Amino acid sequence: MNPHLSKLFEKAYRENTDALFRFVLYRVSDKDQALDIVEDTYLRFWQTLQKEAVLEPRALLYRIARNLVIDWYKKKKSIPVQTFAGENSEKTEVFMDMFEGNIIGVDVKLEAKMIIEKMAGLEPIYREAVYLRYVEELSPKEIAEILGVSSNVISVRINRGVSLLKSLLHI
Amino acid sequence: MKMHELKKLKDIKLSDLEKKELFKRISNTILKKDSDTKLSYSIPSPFFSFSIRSSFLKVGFSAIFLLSITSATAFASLDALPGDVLYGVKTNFVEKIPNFIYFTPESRAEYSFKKIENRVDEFERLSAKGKLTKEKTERIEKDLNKNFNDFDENIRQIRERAKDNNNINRLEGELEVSLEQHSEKIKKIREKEREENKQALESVIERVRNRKENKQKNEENIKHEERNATED
Repeated sequence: MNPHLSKLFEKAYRENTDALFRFVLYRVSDKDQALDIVEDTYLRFWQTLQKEAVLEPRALLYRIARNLVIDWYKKKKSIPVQTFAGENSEKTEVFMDMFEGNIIGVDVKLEAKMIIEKMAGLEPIYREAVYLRYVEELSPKEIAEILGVSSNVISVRINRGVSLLKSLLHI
Repeated sequence: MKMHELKKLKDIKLSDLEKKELFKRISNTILKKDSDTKLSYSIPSPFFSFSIRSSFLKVGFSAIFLLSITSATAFASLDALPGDVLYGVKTNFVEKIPNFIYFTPESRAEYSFKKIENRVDEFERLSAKGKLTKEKTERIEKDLNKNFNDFDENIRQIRERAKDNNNINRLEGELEVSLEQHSEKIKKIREKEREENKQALESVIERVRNRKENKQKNEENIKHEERNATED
């Protein structure tokens, strides 16, 4: 056992758990389900730490969590999963019904509910970029790593997302 | 809604207990596969989470240290006399602190009264110790004059704002009684003191005497005005 890995893991857990939980919760809308996915995320993160050097732990955690959410949607099947061959033709991007419906098991404040409702008006492709940039305050580079596209694409999505959101909000 | 308001979504968090439980689940699963692994997660206390950054710790301890030193110095300066190192701290710092809490002319006048008593007390203590010099006498006299001026100014404000003669009479009466007692003591001190100190002490007694005379004149003026008003 490498004690350095344990420290790295503990630090990653301390610094990212709340953000990961939110990131997953807004997509699955169920607290218990979100906790299960966050748990799996950390287990996979631990496995990766043992195999290779991780330079950007936060980006890796988000990427794992995002893939697990996609798997969960695929298994669930009750929610229609749209496939899209876009800028990243190698992968299939999944547009999830995030920010919709009530969140089960979590007491969400009225203000947060209103923001969620307003963001629901955005197309998921922009919503995700705007969420990671303005809620979780990730850099475009980190978001690019998580979503597996270039930083330029992310910058465009953020700008368009912000413009669309502003027009939706009439500001 | 503005863009920065999106951060409010961050309000949704896990509790410390939930995070600990989740970590336990994760570490148990890892331990099943790798029994050598040691993982730990502790709930930071509210104080620890505030002071976890070393900069916060340094600033916190420095502030506590400075506060302790300042408080100890301020406390030690209370008995300081002219010529002591801490006398400047007493008159320029400690005695000025209550100015931030006393907002009414009444409370300020009472505090000026207290400071006048402090100055006279300093005369007495220095003389008793045989340490009254010309410089020290002049220093106290200078501060005493300032305290008298502050007292008079606050009395003027009480008169102007509330025309509260009862309060003014009470305050001036108390001060007069106190000054009468002290001036008797100062007269005795003057008799014992060297010639060079006598002059300064004389001016303090003179000041007290003048106050008494001015007060009598004021009272006569007020009575005169009241009489005129009644006749009109």
